[in-house]
Amino acid sequence: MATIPLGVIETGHLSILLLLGFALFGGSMGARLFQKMRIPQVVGYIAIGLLIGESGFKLIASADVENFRQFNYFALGIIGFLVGGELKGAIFKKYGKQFMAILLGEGLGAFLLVGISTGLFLYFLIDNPTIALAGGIVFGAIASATDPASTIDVLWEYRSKGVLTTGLVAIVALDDALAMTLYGLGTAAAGMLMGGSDSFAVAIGKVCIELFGAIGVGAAAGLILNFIIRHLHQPDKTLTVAIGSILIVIAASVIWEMDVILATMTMGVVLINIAPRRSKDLFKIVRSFSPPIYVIFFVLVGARLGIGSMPGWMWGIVGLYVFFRTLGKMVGTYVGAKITKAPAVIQKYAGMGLFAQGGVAVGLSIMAGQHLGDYEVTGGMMLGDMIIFGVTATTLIVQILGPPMVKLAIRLAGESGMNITREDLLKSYSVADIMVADPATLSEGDSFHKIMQTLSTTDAMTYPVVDENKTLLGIITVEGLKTSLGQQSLSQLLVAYDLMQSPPDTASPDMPLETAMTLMREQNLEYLTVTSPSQDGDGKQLEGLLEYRRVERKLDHELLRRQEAASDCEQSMLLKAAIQKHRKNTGLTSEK
Amino acid sequence: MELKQYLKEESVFVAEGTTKQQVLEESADVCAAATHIDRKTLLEAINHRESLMSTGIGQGLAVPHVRLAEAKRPALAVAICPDGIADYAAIDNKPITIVVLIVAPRGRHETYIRLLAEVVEVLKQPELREKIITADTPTRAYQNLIGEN
Repeated sequence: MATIPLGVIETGHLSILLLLGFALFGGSMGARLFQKMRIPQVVGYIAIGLLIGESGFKLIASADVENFRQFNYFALGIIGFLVGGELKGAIFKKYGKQFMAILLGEGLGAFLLVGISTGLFLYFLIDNPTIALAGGIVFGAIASATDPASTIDVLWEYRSKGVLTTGLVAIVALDDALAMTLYGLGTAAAGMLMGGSDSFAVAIGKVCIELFGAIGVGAAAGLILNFIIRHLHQPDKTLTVAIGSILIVIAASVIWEMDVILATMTMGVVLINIAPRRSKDLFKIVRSFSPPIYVIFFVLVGARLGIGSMPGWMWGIVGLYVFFRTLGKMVGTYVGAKITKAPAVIQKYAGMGLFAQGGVAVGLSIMAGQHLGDYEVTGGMMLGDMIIFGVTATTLIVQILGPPMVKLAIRLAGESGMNITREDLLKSYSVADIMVADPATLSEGDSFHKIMQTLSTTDAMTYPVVDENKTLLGIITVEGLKTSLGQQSLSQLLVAYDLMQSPPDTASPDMPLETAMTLMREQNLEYLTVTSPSQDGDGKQLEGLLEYRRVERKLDHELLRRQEAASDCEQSMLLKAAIQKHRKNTGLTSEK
Repeated sequence: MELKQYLKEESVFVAEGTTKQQVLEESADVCAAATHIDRKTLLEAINHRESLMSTGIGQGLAVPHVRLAEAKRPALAVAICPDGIADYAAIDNKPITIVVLIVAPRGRHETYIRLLAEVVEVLKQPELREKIITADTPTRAYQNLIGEN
C-alpha cells in the first residue's frame, strides 16, 4: 500500500483537516455543554466557532474559513432538501392561506420597521438621505430572512410536532424566497438611488430568474431523482445518488445565480409529494448523513463573525435592527395569523420562533457588500462594509437568542417531544421504568394444579420462582411447560421445583432498556428477570420482570399516545378555529 | 422407551431399610455410583424435594426425582420394599412398596419429564407392580419392568 511521506503534506491541506477536526470535535463538545444548560445545541456550535474564529482566539485563518464557501452551499443545499421533505401538499392545502399571510406579515413587518428605523438613524448620523434610504432598504430586506437551519435544528433536537411546528417549518422555508425578493428589489432600488446602472425592471427580471429558475431546476431534479431511486433498492446507493443530485442542483444554482435553498427545497417538495413512501426512507437516510455537515456549517458561521473592529455608532444600528426586527416579526406574525384566523398557538407563539438569522442573511450582506462597496457612509466606512458589520453583529446576537426562543415557543405550545421515534423512546427508558415490578411469582413447592391456576388467571408468559425473601430460584415459562402439559399422570407428582429452569442472564433495574432489549435479541430470549444482589450477598433478589413482547407493546402504546396527543393538539386547534368561524358566521358571540 | 435406555439391571434391588429415609439413602447410593455425583449433594437434593411435597403418589408407588447440574446423564434406582414403608406419607396414606428414584441432568428437562411419565405409566398397572414385588430376584423384577418377561 502506498504511503504519503509526512513532508509531502502541504500545510494548507493540514489546516483544512484541522479545521474540520476542530469544527466537528469542538462543535460537539460545545453542543453537549449547552445542552446540559438546556440551551439548543446549535448555539453551542456557533459559540465554538466564535471562540476559534475571527471574534475569538483566531485559531482559524479567515482565508481557511473563506475556502469553505462551497461547503456552506452544500450545507444549505442539504438543509433545503430536508426542509422540502417536510412540506407535504396536504399541509399547504390545510394551512396554505394562513402560512402565506404570516409569512408576508412577519417578513414585511421586519422589513418595514428595520428599514425605517435604521434609515432614520443613518439620516440623523450622516445627514445624507440617499445613503440613509439605501442602507435602510438593504438592512430591512435582510432583516426579513429567518434562518431555516438553526430553527429546524431546534425543532428536530426537541422532537417537536404539531401545528406550530408545521407552521414554523413552512414559514422559515419560504421566507428565504421573500427575503431574496425584497433584497433583489431593495438593492436594485438602493443601487438606483446611488446612481447605479440597473433599472428596476431589470432588477425584477433578475429576481424572477433567481426564484423561478431555482424552482424549475429543483423540480426537474426532483423528478429525475425520483425516476432513478425507483430502480435503486440499496440505501447506500440511494444516498450516494441523492447527494450527487443535490450537489449538481447546488452547483447549477450557484453558476446561474439562483437561490440554492429554494432549488434544493423544491427538489425535496417534489420528491415527497410524488413518491411519499419511496422518498420517506431517502429523507431519513439523508438526515442521518447530515449532522457532521450541520456542525461544520454552524461552527463556520460562528468563526466567520468578526465584529472586533466595528465603530461605536454601529452598535446603535445593531440595537435598532435587533429590536425592530424582533418587534416586526412578532407583530407581523400576530397580525397575519389573526387576520386568517390561524390556530391560537400560531397566533401566540409563531413570532417567537422566527428570530433566528443565519447563513442567508450573512450571504446577502456579503452580496450587498459587493454591490454597494463603492459608497462611503462616514469616516472611511463604506456602505457595503457597514451592512456586513451590521448583519454580522446582529446575527451573532440573534443567533444566540433565536434558538432558545424557538425552544420556548414549542414548549409553550406543548409540541416539544411529540415527534419521538421508537428508538428515541427506547433510549429514554431504563429497565426499571418499563419492567413489571410485581410479576406473578411461584414458590418452589407450588403444585402443578396451583401453577396452572396462576397461568390461567394472569397473562404473563414467564413466572419467576422465588423463596419467602424474594430470592430468585428459577423460572417457569409457558413454553417450558409444554412438555409437561400432555402428561396428565404427572399432575400429582410435579411441583414448581421440578419444572423450573435456571434463569438466563438477569438485568439490573438501572440498566438502559436499550441494552436489555439488545441482550434479549442477541440471546434469543423472551424475557429477562430483573434482580439486585440479595442482602446476604449469596443470591439475587427479584425486582421485576422484563418480557420482550410486553416491552414492545408498551413502547407501541406510548408512541401511539404521544402521536395522538400531537394530533389531538392539531385537531383541537382546527376545531376551535372552525367553531369561531361558525359563531361569527351565525352571529353568535364567543363564550367568556 | 426411555426407561429401557436408562435403567440398569444392577440398579434394581430389594431394600434393606424399613423407613423412608433409609430407602432414599440406599437409592441415592445406587444413583451416586452410577452418575459419579457426590452422595451428600444428591441426598440433600432428594430430601429438599421431599420437603416440598411427598413423591408417594399412592397405590404403593413413590417416584422421588431430582435434576442436578452435576448429573451428566439420567440414572434410575428401583428399590423393592415387600414389607412396605409406612412413613412415606403417600397421598393415599398406604405403605410404599416400590420406590423409583430418578436423577436427571438439569439441562435435559424433556427427557426428565418423559422418563417420569413413563415410570408412572408403567407402574400404574397393578399386575406389573405385583409381579415386581413378588419377583424372586431383582433381575426378574428388572425384566418385568422393562417388559422382557
